[in-house]
Amino acid sequence: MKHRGYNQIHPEALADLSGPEAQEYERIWDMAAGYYGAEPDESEYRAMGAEIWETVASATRPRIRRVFFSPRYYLLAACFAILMAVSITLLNRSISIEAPLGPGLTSEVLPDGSILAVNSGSEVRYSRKFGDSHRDLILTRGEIFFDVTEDDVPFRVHTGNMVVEVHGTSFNVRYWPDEIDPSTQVAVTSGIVSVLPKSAPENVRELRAGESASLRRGHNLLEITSASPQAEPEKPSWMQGHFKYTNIALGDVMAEVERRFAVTIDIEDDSGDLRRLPKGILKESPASAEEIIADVCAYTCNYRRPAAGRFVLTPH
Amino acid sequence: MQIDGNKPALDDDAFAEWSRRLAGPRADAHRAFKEVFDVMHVALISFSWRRYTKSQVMSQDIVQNAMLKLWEIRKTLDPKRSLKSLLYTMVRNLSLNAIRDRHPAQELNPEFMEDRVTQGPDDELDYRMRKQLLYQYISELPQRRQEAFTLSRFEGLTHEEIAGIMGLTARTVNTHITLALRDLRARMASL
Repeated sequence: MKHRGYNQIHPEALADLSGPEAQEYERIWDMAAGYYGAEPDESEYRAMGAEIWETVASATRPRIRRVFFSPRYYLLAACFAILMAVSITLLNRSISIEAPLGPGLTSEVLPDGSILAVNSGSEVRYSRKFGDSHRDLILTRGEIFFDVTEDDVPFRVHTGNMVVEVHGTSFNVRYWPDEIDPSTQVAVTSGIVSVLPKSAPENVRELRAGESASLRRGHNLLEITSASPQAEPEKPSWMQGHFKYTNIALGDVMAEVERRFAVTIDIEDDSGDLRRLPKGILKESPASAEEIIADVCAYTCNYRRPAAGRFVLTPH
Repeated sequence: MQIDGNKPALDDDAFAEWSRRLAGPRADAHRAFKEVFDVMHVALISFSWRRYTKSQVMSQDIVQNAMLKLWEIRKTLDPKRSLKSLLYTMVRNLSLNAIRDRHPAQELNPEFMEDRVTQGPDDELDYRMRKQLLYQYISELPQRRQEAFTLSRFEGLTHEEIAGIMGLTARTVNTHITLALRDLRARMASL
C-alpha cells in the first residue's frame, strides 16, 4: 500500500471545472507535495512497525497452540475438565468463598443461613459439614462482615492468630497476612462476640456491640477499643463503599486500594520508609483509585500513572 | 461513485473480510489481526507522524494503542462499517489526545518553513517561495477543510474513507476538498 508519493486528485473534486481551471487545481495539488517537510522513509516506518508488533503480539497472541483447536481436542479438554472438577469436589472437602478484586460487594449465604459480606480480594474457607456438627470458618486473608444466625452451635471464625466465637450477632473481621504489621481486627455491630488469641486462649474477652479488638501477629494481648457511648454501632465503612483507615501503613493502604479498584501500585522506595509511613484516610465513596492515591500522597510522595490501571509511587 | 484515482490496492471487501474474521474464533482472529497490521502499519504510523506528532516514539505509542484497542473491541466490529476508516479514526483521536497532553515546551513548530531559500536562480527561487507560501496557506485553511484536503492529498484515502473518519458524507468531503482547492488557488493567484 502506498503511503507517500503521488496520490491523485479525486475526479469528483474537479467535476464542475473547465479544462484549464482543472489544470491549475492539479498544479496546486502537485505543489503541496512537500507540505509536511522531511519525514522518515518507508524502511524506517517499517522498523518502527516491527517494534510495535512485538509488543502488540505479546499482548494479544492466543495462549493455546493451534493443534488444540480441532473439535476433537475441545471434546477431550471438556472431558478432562469435568473429570478434574468431579475429583476436586470429591477429594477436597473444604469450600472456598473468594471475592474478586475491584469494586462491588460479594455476599454469600452460608448453609446455616448466616450472611457474609466479603471485601475485595478476601477469602474464607469452610468444610463441607458446616452447619451440621460445627460452624467453623477460616478467614485465610481479608475482611468479612458476618451476620450470624442464632444457633446453639457456636459460630467460630479462625484467623492466623485469633478465634472469634459467637452465637448470633453481626461483626466484622479483618486479617491481611501480607500487611507490614499484620493483625486481626474484630468490630462488633450487634450481639456479643468472644475473641481469643490462639496462642493464649486464656486471654479470652467478650466484645459488645460497638466494641472492637485488635491482635497483632506474634502477640498474646488483645487491644480493646470501647464503644463510644453516643455512637450507634454501625456496619463497617467498606460495606458502604467508603475508604476509611486510621493509623495504617502507607504500603497497606495501597494494598487495600489495589484490591478495591483492581489496579497495580508499585512503591519505588529502597529504604522502605515510605511503605511504613503511618497514614490515616477517610474518603466517602471514592470514585477512583487515583482519588485516594492523590490524597494519601499529598506532601509525602509523588505518583505517576504509566498506564491505565497502574500507578508508581516515589518518595517526595 | 466508482471512478476513483485513489482506489487502493486493497478494496473494501478485504477489510470487510478482516472485520468478520476478527470477530470470529481467536486463533484465526489473530491471523487476521496480523494481516491488518502488516497492511496498515506504515500508513498509520506515517499518518500520525506527519500530521500530528512529528515524533517517532509518540506515533509508535499511538499506533500500538490503536491496535491493542482494535483487538479489544474485535468482537463488536461491524463488517459493514469500514475497518480502515476505524483505524484512521482511532489513530487520529489518540494523536489529538497525545499532542494535547504534550508539554508545551515540547511543542514542535510546523516545518513548512524548513527548507528556507537562500540562493538559486531567480525562477527556482520564485517557485520555492511560492511553494512555501502554499504550505503556509494550507496550514491556514479552516480546520475541517484542511483535514479533508490533507487526508485526500497525503493519505491517499477515498472520499468514502475520509467520510468515515470525519463523520461526514462523501459528498460533504468532496465539498470540503473543492473549497480547499478554491481557497488555495485564489490566494496563490493574488500573489
